[in-house]
Amino acid sequence: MSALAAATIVAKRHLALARVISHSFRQHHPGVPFFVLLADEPNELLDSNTEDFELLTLDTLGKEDLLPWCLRYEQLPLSYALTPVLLQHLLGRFQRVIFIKQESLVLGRLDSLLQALEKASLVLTPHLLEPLRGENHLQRELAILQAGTYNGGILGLRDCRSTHDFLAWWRQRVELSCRHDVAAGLHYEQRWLDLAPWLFENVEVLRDPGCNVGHWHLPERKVCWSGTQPLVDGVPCSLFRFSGFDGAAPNQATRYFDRLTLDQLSDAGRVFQHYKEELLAAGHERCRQWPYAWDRFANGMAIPPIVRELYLGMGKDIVQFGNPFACGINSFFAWLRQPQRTDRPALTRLWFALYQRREDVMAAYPDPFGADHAGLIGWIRNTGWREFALDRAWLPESEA
Amino acid sequence: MTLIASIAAKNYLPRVRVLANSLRQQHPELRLQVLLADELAGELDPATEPYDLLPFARLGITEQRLFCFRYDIKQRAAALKPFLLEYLLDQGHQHVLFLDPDMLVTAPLSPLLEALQQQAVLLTPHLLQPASGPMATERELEILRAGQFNGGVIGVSDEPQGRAFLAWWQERLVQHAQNSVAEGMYYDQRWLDLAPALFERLGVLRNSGCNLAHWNLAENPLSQDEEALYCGDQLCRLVHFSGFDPLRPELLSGHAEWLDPRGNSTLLELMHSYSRRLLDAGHEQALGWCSSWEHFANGQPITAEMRSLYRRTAKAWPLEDPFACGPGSFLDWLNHHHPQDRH
Repeated sequence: MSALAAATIVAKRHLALARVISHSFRQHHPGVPFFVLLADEPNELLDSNTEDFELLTLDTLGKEDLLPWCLRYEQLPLSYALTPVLLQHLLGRFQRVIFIKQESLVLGRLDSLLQALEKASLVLTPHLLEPLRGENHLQRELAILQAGTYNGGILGLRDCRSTHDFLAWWRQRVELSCRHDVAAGLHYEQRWLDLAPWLFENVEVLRDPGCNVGHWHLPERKVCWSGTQPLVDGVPCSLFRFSGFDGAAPNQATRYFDRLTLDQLSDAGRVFQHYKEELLAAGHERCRQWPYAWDRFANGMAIPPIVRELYLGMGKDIVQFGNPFACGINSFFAWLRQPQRTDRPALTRLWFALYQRREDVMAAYPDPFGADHAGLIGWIRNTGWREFALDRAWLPESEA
Repeated sequence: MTLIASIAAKNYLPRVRVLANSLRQQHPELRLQVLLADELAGELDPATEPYDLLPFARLGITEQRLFCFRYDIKQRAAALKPFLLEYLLDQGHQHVLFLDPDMLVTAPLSPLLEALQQQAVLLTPHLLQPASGPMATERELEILRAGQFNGGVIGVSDEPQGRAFLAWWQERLVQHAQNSVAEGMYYDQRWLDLAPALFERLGVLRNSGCNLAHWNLAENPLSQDEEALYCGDQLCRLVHFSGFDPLRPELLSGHAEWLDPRGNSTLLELMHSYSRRLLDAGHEQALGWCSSWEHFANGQPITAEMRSLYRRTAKAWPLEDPFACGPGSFLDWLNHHHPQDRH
């Protein structure tokens, strides 16, 4: 078994982000294989022979089991949910694995993490290593509590029993619970990590201010960049994160906290600029136009959020449908278009679910299967499909 | 010597009596000091209680009346924790172990007391192994909403990191001890999630027997022999009856209706015996004791919505007594504004 590997997960449109991580990682760790799991389908636009990473597709990880995840979750949550799946695959083949989340740049050797992995089975990095003191500090700490104690931007894992237990548990949880729903206790895959240090043995929390630097503590952590590697609070910065950084909005460090601007950040702001240039050099403008495989059913119809929500809500009962994107007789697609009640065929399951999510519509048509049926169907045909931005093909067929 | 501390409203004093007596059985050498997050109106004579009662005013909370208006009794009792702990360190206690009033000591607390000798701060996690059974995910989500650590057991020592932890927690709890999961808050408790990475010399005790409750009982079933009570293969030392109602002794916790105790006779027996102890300690009588700071000066009850509105608009009444009723008061404003204007 080889010693060490590193990996990330992206959809095709974020391939440049993966290239930047892979390239910057291999600059500091030459010879260590870097894997990119495509949370998407490969196509002819992507030629893995010309990339400097090794491409993994869902086929390698058991696509049949994972296809339901691809309907359940939008593109970004899907890429987050696949983290334990990818790591289970790699840890059987490598003794140690470093996972780096998209929107990252490796700026130095990840030695502090690797050193912790000598003993630990799992290494996590907390968002905060000291109380926040800057502007809005209480609100910013609350934002961390909403997102989770640890940042999923980098994980270190060693091939041992307790790591496999952790991954099996994490995979089970994110299979159905990788949503953003803070009131329910969820922040995608990340909040689950809060429980890991107490549920599993040998979990280490890395206290290196240079590893996993991000917007959440930047007003407090001091970044100096004079030569090649930035210093953070006086120690070499090995990993910088850019979560919510959208090069398109100039001067904004993250969409999660719009008051943080790059010119406020001085040297750290220059790291953001540098990252933006790296992304452009890696073809970000071109890649971001690439299509995503799982935003349409097999017949080409776009998948609206309500469809994913209904599918997620059915939990494991969806096995009856087989391939979730299929459109045949016993498919989920066909199920959505079946009547909610057989005596009122025009009101399909999809439209009844949409109806139940609109209090105003429910108030206007309180008896959808009785006196208000015709009125509701009329509203759906004339207005409803527009308000939900649905393809007209989802409209109910005329009642016989 | 470690001091044991607790905080209670008046209606929880029977629980404190039971805690005090169970503590005295196992640890006759330890004193229990209890902060009343409330005000006595002649309901009892503190001198005859089996613990030392500390009046609320003794803490010297800044702007005490604002604090008491901002928070209802449950939030107030939670938010006062770091203030009480600092006060007790200031009194010269080297180590203080906070215990929730709804706890029962069933064996010596040596793992907690010994760990606290070595640490500045001591916490106990809710879960030490993945939840099992059909409710597993939902149970873990409940912990994610409430926080990794249970605020019912907090140890602190008089050393710089212990003091720094208390100062940090206090600054947050002055305004942010609501039950508002969507904002990242759950009383005093979710803040603790950040503490292990922020403070050094913070210990986490991995011993389910030192804070056994509805959240970890399924993985650590109770049993007993002639000598002792066990949970899983550990000695059961401290049982936390969170959400237990002595008038419904067949239900372990209002927070865990799914938990059916009928298959475990040791558990059933413990629930019934704790219920009897609470009733003997005056539970029903205390139900009739009204908490303070629940009414405006004119007797009108203060609702949760009013407290939350006050929190959001507090800047508008910096110098007013929020309990007052005259012109220009918060109540006056409430009475003269349509609910829609308030948001």
